[in-house]
Amino acid sequence: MEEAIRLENVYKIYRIGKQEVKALDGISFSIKKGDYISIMGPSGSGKSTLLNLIGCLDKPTEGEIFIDGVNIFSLNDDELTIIRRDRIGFIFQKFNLIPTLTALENVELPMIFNGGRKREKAIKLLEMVGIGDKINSKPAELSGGQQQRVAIARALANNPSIILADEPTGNLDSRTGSEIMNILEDLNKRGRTIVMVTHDPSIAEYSEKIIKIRDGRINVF
Amino acid sequence: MYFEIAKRNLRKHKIRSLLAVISIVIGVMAITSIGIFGNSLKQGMFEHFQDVANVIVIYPSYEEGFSSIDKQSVKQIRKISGIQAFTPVKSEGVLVKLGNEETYTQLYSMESIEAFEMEEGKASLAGDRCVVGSNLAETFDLKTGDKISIKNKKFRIAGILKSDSFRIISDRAVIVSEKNFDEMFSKEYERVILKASIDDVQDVSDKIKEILNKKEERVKTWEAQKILEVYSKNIDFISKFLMAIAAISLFVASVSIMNIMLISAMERTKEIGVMKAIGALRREILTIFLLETLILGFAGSLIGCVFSLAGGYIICSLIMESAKYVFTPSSFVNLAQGFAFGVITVLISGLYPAWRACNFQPIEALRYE
Repeated sequence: MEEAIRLENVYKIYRIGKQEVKALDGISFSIKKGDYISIMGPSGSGKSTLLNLIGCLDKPTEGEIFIDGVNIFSLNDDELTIIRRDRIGFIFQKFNLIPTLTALENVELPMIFNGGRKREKAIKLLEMVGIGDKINSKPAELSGGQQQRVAIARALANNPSIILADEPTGNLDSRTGSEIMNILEDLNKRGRTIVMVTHDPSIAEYSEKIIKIRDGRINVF
Repeated sequence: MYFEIAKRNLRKHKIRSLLAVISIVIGVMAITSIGIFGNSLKQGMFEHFQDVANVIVIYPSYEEGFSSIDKQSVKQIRKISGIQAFTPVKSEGVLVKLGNEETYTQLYSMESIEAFEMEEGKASLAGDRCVVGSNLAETFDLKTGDKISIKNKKFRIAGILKSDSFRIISDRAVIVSEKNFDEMFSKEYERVILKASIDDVQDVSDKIKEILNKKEERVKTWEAQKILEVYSKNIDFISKFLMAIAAISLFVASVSIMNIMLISAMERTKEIGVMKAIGALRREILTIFLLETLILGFAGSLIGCVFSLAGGYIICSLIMESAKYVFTPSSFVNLAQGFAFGVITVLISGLYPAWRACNFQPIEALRYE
């Protein structure tokens, strides 16, 4: 199987005053296309930093990251944005929908950034995640679970091969959480690579593999 | 969609947007209404002097020792193309009998008087007819048809001359035909008055000097237009100066817009982070922010323009006591300028906040709470 994501000796070092904090301390691993991976670890272990690097939201201090074979190290701000736009879908813990836009418009937004709004596709995606009846609601009118469904539909807008989820059920009750997890599982079955950060073992259960991380290093693979 | 996003963001903060618009309205209004006033003032002046704007007076060059214009020169002037009306003038101080009264005044001779406007009566010097200045007519209560006598020669008043803005012909004058004048006095031409179309005034005047002053400076010319140009430049200068002062208010508006947009960018840091995460390029964030300032700028400038018409109307009514020049094409030039100035100023003040917003690092922007 082809590699979707590969990390080689990745370091992320933050400077706080004179002190250096190694958030990631020499991480290497690769994720194949179609994998469903959970990254687990206690808070401050570096798991969110890792996800941000994979998501091209940030760049490593040292080391190389390949997304679909593209080395992101030398890319500029806009080039990283294009990678995110075309290849990666984000699902955040706090949903992060644009509050002034309706559910439908939130899903259409990434399509517009990609050059064309496709209303029917957006409606289909919202129907797929089970909120076809709420397409004209603003985020504030939706429950947490509904908002996360919109966020998933938005993540799928540009048909990305990789979906990154940062504590996708963190702000949801367990029943709603498992519904969201079922959607992700379904997406994985349809061939999408999913990388999810969580500290909840019952959520990590859904994935095929778990990467445990502590103090910026991989514990168990 | 970007426009929609921009519009909704502005709507979300109604009062803030409204205040921003008001500040632009005031700025645009201040500049434009003063511009309209300056223009009205200029048009008012031109209309006031319209009767003489195309007049050229040729008079002998006294400094060079010439005290009259000879017949030969008059002939030469007459041949110049572009002249619309023409009359050589002689003059003499005379005692005029008006019924039982007498007064000293200036007697002019003219070849033709048709080019002059009459207050009443006919512009005719034929036979024993004469024309009198309005002031003389008023002082002695003269009417057309009245008889006056000069050197025992009787004249009938055919018309009363309307006084011109520059008093080119004294409004106490009596004007008779050259034939009648020559019967009483033996004099040479003292000056030549002529009219040309406004656009030809300078050419005609130059031509006259070229022909008559070949060897030495025999004549000088005086053009009302030149004086009007000086007036007009002064009005322009003053109105530009006032507009510059008014521009301070637009500058203040632009500072407040910049402030508002910076606050807006800060508040929406997270939103910007999300948009960048899901694929918004810097250019697209920039577009959304600039659209917001543009909407404010357009709305403010448009309302400002409408209000400036009212403002211009009020200023003109108060200062010039007439607002008839407010709704003229030149005012619309002012409006267009004010509008463009408003939009451009606001756009410039929106550039920095938009640039800052589009350069937020997605990771930091996403963490922002």
